[in-house]
Amino acid sequence: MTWILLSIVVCATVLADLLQSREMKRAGEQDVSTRGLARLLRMIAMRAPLGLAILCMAISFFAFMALVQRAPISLVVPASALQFVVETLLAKFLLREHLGNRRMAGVLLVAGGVILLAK
Amino acid sequence: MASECVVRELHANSEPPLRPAQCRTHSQTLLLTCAVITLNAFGNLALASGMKHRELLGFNPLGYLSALFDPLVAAGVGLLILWLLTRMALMSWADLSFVAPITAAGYVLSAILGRVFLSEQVSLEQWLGMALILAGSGLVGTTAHKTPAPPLEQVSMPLAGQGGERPI
Repeated sequence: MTWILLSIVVCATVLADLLQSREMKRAGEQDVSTRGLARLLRMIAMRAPLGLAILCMAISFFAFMALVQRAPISLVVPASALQFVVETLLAKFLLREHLGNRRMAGVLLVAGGVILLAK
Repeated sequence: MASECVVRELHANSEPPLRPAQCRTHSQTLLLTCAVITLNAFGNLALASGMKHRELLGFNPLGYLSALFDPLVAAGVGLLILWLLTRMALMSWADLSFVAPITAAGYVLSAILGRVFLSEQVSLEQWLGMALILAGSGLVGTTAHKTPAPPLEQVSMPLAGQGGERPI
């Protein structure tokens, strides 16, 4: 059960971020004024992939809650470190983002830091 | 500078707009990143301190609803909604491989806020982990925040293996 929940958390988070990133890049640079934020809220309601992304975030949130009641936090948090690495790699291959050495090194440092934070 | 950006009104049946020119500077992007991180950390803090003195939630939806009437919980939810929207805006400015690792700095802020306001203990390993996260997100912060858009007519793959050197 723990492993099922863990993979639900990771997959749902990664899917949510990939969908959001793809949709937001297509939408173009958005404003962060009050009107801009209201527009983003409307976009969630109008664009199915964004709605799906929010649904994935909700699934991931509740699976995470169920997970922390069952599994020690020292297992849960490293899993979210895994999520950064998976997300970055998928961003390269699916979203065609350019990953330099510096960015890759930064991602690995962050992942290592999250694992230590869980101790 | 922001006024140079063409703000496109979205119509339900309009085609997706062409890829816009990049008009947010790197410092504007870093500033919004800081806002996203702060909103997340304070949202989580408000939520955590509001939930701490409540009994454990099960599958009863009424428990969640009544939790929303707690002012701290409500403030936390409000901050997290703002976090979601500003993070979406940030994703329209920057790459996912930029946003995801750099916002991990929020873990550090959360841990520090937890120590200050909820008097949670932070071990030596955790301080080390926080230093690594800060170093990593700082490093990511020095990279260009957005992959330049390819020319619109070009659909093929980038030049991998076309006359370039192949690793043996």
